[in-house]
Amino acid sequence: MIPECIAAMGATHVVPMDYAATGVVASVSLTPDTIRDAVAVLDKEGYLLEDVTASDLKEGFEITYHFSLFEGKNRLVLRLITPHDPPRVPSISGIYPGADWHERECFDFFGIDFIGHPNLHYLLLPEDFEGHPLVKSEAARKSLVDIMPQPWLVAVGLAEPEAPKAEKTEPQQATVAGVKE
Amino acid sequence: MPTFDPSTMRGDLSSTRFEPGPTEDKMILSMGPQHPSTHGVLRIMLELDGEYILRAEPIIGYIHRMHEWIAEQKTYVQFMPNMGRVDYLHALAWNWAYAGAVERLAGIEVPERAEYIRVAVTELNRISSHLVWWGAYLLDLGAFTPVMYAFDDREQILDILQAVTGSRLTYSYFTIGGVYDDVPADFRERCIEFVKRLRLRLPMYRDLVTNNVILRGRCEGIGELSVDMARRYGATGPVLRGSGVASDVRKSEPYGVYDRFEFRIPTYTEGDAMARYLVRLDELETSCDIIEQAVSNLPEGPITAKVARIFKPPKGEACLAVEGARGKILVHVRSDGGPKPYRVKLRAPGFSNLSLFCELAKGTMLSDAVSILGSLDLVIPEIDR
Repeated sequence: MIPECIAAMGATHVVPMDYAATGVVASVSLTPDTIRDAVAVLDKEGYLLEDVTASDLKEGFEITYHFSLFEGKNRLVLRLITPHDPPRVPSISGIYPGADWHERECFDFFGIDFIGHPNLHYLLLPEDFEGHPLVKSEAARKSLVDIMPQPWLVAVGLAEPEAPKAEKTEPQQATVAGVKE
Repeated sequence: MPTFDPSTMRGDLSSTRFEPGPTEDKMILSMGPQHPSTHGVLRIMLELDGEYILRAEPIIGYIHRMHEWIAEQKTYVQFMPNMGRVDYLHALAWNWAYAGAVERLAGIEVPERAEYIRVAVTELNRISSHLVWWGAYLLDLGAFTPVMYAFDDREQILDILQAVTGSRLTYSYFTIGGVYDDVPADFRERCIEFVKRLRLRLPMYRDLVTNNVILRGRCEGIGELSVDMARRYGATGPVLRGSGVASDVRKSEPYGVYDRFEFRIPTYTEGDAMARYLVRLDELETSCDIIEQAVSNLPEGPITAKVARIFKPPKGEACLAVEGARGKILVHVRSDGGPKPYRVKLRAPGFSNLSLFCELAKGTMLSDAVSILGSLDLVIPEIDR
């Protein structure tokens, strides 16, 4: 299910995901240096930009880019981590002009500096607003280990594979925790 | 008494980015946020050469409510009512996108009856959304009467949906695992009756409005959008289908039980405002087909899955794409295993559709820009979130 073009993206980790359980087919981990080249590869393949968003984690701000084709179940998530201080990522608005507003929204909510963005100022918040509302306090921040599913953590080397049971589980197996039988 | 001196007026950040130019012909116009054709509170800064647009920049955020922050303060179930308020015209699609994303995250299986009810009410809501767009677009273009007919039809839908959901506009009908309440006994009859009625009205609309030479003059060849531009801006929904791409989430990644329904995806290849207009009008018929199939195959059974009262999905992330009246709605939910979401991201189709307006409006006349704006079908609360 993983498209061949991913090989040319210079990813540090490519993890196949279970579409039925997550809505994406692959998670591609990148670094800020490789994001522009990786996005250019997707542009050549005819991917549509869905959104650019971020989450505040212990490791830093995780920026995620979602892409899909016009047809079929093929959503890709590109993810990279930038430190809290200073959060700096190259802008992809030169490749996908639609990213312009999405990156401005990330600037609003998280204060992330998109290098090379033509017009980086508040989009949704008033111009005299101080701070960035989705930045969490140090105590409220969770680590990737706390919020990502175990198989993904194993695949990127953040967790040890458990007993043989873990090998069989697909990424984020639909466990029915939280549902009373 | 102090005299008024315009040179001392300071303007805001957006207007300072638009300076009067070196020539006298160049004019700066701030259109909105209270302009009738900007549908609520959208403001557009324009740089004009006579009546032609040199540069346009939409300024949004006047009704920003920070739904994504609210999501982090509430439990999964408590956040549900917000979904009815993101897009007030197609609220049930947002209901579905959020409920569905959480169900995917927790691996909850929705009972069949609930799935069919969801399809029926969401499609009814889609028709009501398109009818409002139709009336309002024609109002923008100077035709006053059609909106009366559109609202007359829409009223029938609101009555049906009120009987089902309890509200007329800001629905919060879906629950995690199903729907809140079963449909009334006469739901099927009322839907069939409505579909019959709308099918009789649509030819009239086509004859009186769609084939009107003035409307065609205002729409044909206006705001032509290429497929490549639509893709780079992330345009979806009728805007993309008006450029000839048969992309519809209901077909490409069917959610719920949409894979059991037979319907076609209307597309037009011109890419202009008229093509987007025709796509939406055709979608009214498509939705009628789906509603008929949904209510005639409505199975018996429970309307909600068993979900723990204190609901805690496992850690992880999930997203669900839903075809809203304006395009692809995408809700991402991340969980740390606690009772509240760690992060919720709402991807609004109107946000991407509006962002391409800067490029689309360049070089057109101001009056055509109004036609382009209307043809994008903007719902500002959804864009501002």
